[in-house]
Amino acid sequence: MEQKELFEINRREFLKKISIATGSTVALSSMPWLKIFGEDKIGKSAQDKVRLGFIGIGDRGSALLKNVQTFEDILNVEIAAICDDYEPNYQRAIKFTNGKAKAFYDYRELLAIKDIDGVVIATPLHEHAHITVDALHAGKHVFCEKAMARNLDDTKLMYDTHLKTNLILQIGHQRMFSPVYLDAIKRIHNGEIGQISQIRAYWHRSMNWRRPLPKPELERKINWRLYEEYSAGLFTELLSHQIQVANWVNKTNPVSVVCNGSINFWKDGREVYDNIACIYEYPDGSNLVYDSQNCNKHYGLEEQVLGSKGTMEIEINKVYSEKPPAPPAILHLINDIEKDIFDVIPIGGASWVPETAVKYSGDYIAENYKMDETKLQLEAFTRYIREGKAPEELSRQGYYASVWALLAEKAAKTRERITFDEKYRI
Amino acid sequence: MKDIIIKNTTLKREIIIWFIALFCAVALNIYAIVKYDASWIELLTQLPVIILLSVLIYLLIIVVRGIAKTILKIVALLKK
Repeated sequence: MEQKELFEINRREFLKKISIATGSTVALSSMPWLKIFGEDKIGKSAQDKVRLGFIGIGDRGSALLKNVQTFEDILNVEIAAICDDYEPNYQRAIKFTNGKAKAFYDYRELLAIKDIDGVVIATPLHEHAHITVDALHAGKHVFCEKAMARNLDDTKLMYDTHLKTNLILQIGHQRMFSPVYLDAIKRIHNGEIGQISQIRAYWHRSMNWRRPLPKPELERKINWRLYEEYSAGLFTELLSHQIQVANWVNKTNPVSVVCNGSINFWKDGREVYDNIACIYEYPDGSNLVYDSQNCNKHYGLEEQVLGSKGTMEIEINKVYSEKPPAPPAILHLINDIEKDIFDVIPIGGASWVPETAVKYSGDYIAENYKMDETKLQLEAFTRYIREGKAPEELSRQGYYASVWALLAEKAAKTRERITFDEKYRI
Repeated sequence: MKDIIIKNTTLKREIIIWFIALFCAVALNIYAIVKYDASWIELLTQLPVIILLSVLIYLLIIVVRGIAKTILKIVALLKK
């Protein structure tokens, strides 16, 4: 099957999905960033071409670039320039683009190209802010990977510059474009699982997060995620995704956070925690209970939304009712008879029975689908560029996710309950 | 190889026994539907389960018949 044909099939499937997700005007107003997919005005002339520059072609940057390449011709997009100050990445990017894109070591040279409409930034975290601000001042729309910046002031500066320049600032929270998440959040907002009392989220990995070094002096450049100067580790790399989901579910932001963190397992000279546990409190008293660590991957990652009428595990696409559908009567009867015959009757034992988890496999939130949300968010970015604007909610979601990731880091460092500082309100 | 001949009367008897088993299974289903306040549509939707259950009951009856037959044979032998 040709790529174009496949793209069209996936796109039709996605539109079908989001029509489920945005079935009502209420849902559409809470997910305004999806409206763009309904537009079909893609001019095919050279004038209508959207020209992108990519800054930072590491693992994530490469993935983003390859995603855009899958729809370059279909959506009249061109990867016009690439930039990376690390030689292997720079060469790799030239190879990916067959030497067609202009290549730079210095992002400022890329920003100086007049006909570039937007830039995709996937550099280490501490570089996001100044590159984004420079790009916006240079008149480029910006797609920046999460989290936004290494500190709160830079995060605010990025957002303020976006407002001041009236240019797009989209942050890479791809779950906002996932059909499963869109359907799940719509159903949660429609009250399907009742009142939310708690969200439990976690991201567990069994890896040391280290990349192989060609030279020892490149340690901090390659393994930037392990050093406080460049990254907040688990907070900005992983938690930032899941706090965005929690804020989206709750339709609001937390009021406070408490957190513990430690370097508990990987005592290899790193500065960022390999083990964190936080509790965020929301205005209605509900909580996000979050933990992440790097030495055990048994539970993987998940966001469990616990409501009075049901539970959702969105990562694995599952919904569970608090009142599971009854089994057929005849099976129920056979089960009961079986229990009466084979169950052990405790004599003189403890009367307390442990409330272990209900064994119930639940239902799928969304049907199986073959769409990549990373690709969808990049497709949306190119469409926003063509429109010249993006819904503000998109930037706000990214902003508050970044801010609350950094506030959790602060809570872990100070061992205090951290509330929101009004000077960062937008 | 020796041919196994099943007489008509034997076949008839076994079919009747299986029908009794099927009747028991349906009766159990009706009882379960009433007991658990389930939908009467389960009389149709659970037919595969009922047929399976009837086979299990039939097999159980074979076991009981086998035991009864053996006991009767032992008693007859003892009387001789």
